[in-house]
Amino acid sequence: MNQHDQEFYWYWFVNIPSIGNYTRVKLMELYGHPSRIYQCSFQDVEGYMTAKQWEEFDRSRNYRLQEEGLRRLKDSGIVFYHWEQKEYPSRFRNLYDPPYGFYLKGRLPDPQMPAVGIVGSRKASPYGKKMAERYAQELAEAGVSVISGMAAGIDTEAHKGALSVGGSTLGILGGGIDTMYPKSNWNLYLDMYQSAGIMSEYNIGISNLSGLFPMRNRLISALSDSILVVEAGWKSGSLITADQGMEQGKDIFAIPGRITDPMSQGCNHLIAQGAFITESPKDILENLRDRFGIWNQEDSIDNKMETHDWRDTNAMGDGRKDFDGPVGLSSKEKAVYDLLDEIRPVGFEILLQSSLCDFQELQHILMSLELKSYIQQPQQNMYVKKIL
Amino acid sequence: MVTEVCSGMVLGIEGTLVTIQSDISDGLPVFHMVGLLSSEVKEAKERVRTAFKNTGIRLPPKRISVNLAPADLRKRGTGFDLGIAVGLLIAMGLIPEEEASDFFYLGELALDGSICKVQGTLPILREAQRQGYHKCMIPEENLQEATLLSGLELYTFSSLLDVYDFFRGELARSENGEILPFLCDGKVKKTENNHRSRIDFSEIKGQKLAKRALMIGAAGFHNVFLDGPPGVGKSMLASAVSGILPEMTQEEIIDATMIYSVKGLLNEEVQWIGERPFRNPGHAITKIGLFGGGSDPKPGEISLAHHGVLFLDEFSEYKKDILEMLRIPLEEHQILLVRNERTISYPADFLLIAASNPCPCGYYPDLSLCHCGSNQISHYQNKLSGPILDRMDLFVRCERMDYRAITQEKEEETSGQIREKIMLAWELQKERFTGKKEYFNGRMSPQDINKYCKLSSADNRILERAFETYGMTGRGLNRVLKVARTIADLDGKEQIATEHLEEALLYRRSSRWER
Repeated sequence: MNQHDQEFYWYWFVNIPSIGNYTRVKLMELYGHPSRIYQCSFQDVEGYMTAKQWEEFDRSRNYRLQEEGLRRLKDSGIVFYHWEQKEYPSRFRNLYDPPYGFYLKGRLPDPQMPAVGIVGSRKASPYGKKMAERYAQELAEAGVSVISGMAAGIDTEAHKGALSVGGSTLGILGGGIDTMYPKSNWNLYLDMYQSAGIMSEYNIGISNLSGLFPMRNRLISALSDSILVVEAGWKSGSLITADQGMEQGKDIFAIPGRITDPMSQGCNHLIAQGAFITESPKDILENLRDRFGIWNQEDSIDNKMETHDWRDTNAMGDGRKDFDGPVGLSSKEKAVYDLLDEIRPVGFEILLQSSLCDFQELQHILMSLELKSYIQQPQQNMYVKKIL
Repeated sequence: MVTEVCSGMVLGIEGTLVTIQSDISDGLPVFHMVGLLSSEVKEAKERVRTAFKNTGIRLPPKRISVNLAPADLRKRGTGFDLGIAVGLLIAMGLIPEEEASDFFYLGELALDGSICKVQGTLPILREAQRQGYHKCMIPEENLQEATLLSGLELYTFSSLLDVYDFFRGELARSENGEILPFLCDGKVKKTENNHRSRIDFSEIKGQKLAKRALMIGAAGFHNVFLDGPPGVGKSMLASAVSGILPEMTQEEIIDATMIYSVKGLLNEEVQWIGERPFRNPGHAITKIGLFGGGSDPKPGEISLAHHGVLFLDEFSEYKKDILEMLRIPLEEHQILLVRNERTISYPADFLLIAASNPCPCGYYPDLSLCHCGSNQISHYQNKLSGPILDRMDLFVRCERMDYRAITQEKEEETSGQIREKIMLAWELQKERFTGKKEYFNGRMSPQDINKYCKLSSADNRILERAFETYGMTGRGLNRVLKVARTIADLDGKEQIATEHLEEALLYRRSSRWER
């Protein structure tokens, strides 16, 4: 069988509209190759599908239809990967219900390099977003691929962080390969197409159904060596990713939060269940190094630590010292700054009551803090500390 | 013999005069009315005939023709009845023509001959006065609104019989046997007919930021956008704003009362609009309800808010087309409607206060209470288009106050005290914009902004830095300057100082809306 025929059969097999992944796995166990399944009669597969499903199955065995689909992919610059290809990621092969084929625009991360899946809430706090970006930047700089789901919030920041340092990253979509969700991420999509990759299990034209997201999550965890949960609410989909990761034997890292923060409940719960707690990207890098050795001499971790030591000014890092906040603030500015939080925005009105400033003083202090980029307004007249 | 008397009707918001010509001639007995009449005017025939019968006056069995001129104007309204009846009385030779044709007539007749109120009395009389009529006969119930006009002699009678007796000199009502008209002095009416219990600013605890923003908005006619979770008092704050605006002038009272008169909203309790209106139409309103219109055009809520406050609560819940159309009155301060090949303009010069929750549940960004999805939130916030938000100068967040703040007995500024300050700011603006059409900072043109909003070089540096840090736009910059000008005016300062500029920056649209 030549390459084209292989591609054709696999493409047909993953695009049979009426049957699910479970049936596909069963059929594969039975017949071993889609070309054999292609020859089946109804009697051969009777146990696996109803008459109605068979009708669709039968109709999909249309050479021109499938060729047309393949041509459309090529025209859109999308590459179809299937099980028999040697480029097919070996990490998928161990899955209990692997995708027999998937679509890719851009390129896959280097399979030799370690990869970390960064997941978290779509409705993240400014703090969570900043953390996602920081971790992604630092991991990507150390040569680690960042895998995430292209969703709003944490996912977006993780991809952006990795792209900003020219690192390797991959976005796995929960809908068809041509979907953009959320639409506001248009620029990110373009960047990802150009300098990284976007992958989906689903063909062009399949819309974003939230039911597909857990399926997507299993791919994120499959491709990753470790999974980092940045911020997750109590019922967050990120916890599903973490669960799947655990089943697949991956290391789970979670960024801790205060127990009262709704956006940290998921993370704290994971930690309570035995996930690794992470205080800085270094934790993840060290863990990866223990497992894989040093993967890239030039980008060795120690080297990185010196050039990129934002944690040392923070309360973390080796030379732990107390963090006093921004320098050069007047006592009143400091007093207002201390009333603010990194996660929960505090309103002007509240500050007016809790600080000892009058209206004019407070407006002056807030503006000067904001112009110095120590604080920001995520919402009209509500302020949070910027993470320095 | 053809007789002529004068009556009038409402066209848009203005009155227009209609001449009633009557003629009684030989022929088959018939009562005939012409002059492009709508149904309610055609039916005047029956009302007049029956009123005559019940008054004890017999219509002659002749051919009676009545024409309402000009014949190409579609006649609407019920105010012609009295004029038609008087015209016929003259034509029948029962009352003297010289005396009766001096009057201007307005009134609807009931079947028993009593005279009932009509809508739009004020604009019609205003037009009559402009055309040289001084003696006006109007329904008793419309007397109060009519007294806003100075120099009119107003006669009110309860029934057609009284009118008949009056012209025949047989009506003895006053002590010396003479009928005295009600003379209008046209003095500014004080608001003894306070039809709304207004909320005073001092009754609202806390919310300093929002109060201050509303005060600035009122001082410079800047439209205000209130953002905040449900139940924090956004509606209460907005409803208090009409109380801090300076009192209306006589001209403004007439303007506003005319609109209410045309809309038929005046009654015994509300006889004229002596206080700045506050309108809160609610987001279920239709386009016609808000902007005016209909086959028989009536002004809408934006016109009822003329010279006052229009409050649009749940701003994001309004239909998209309504929000987009709101841009027109916000620019033009009036709304034009084309009906029956005529263009009608309704004035709509109001202070807009819009309020919205940040997300469907209302509690974002408090993540412990908000249960909306991220796309729900952005969808909700994106409902408001850039152009409509561009017409709002002040953006402010209302915060949930804690128990201590709500219950503490602290002296808060009363509406009266705030109004004093605003009046001073208005005076300054009137002086500054003498000879211009608009005299509010909120309506400055870019040239005016360059001329009147000069900053010191130090403040310019602050603004430049803010411009870059916040990623502001040129229009956003102009908004900040306009607001800073008003804040300086409230302070009584000629020069915009640093604290004025800083405060103006506090009310700029923050990143969420600027996007």
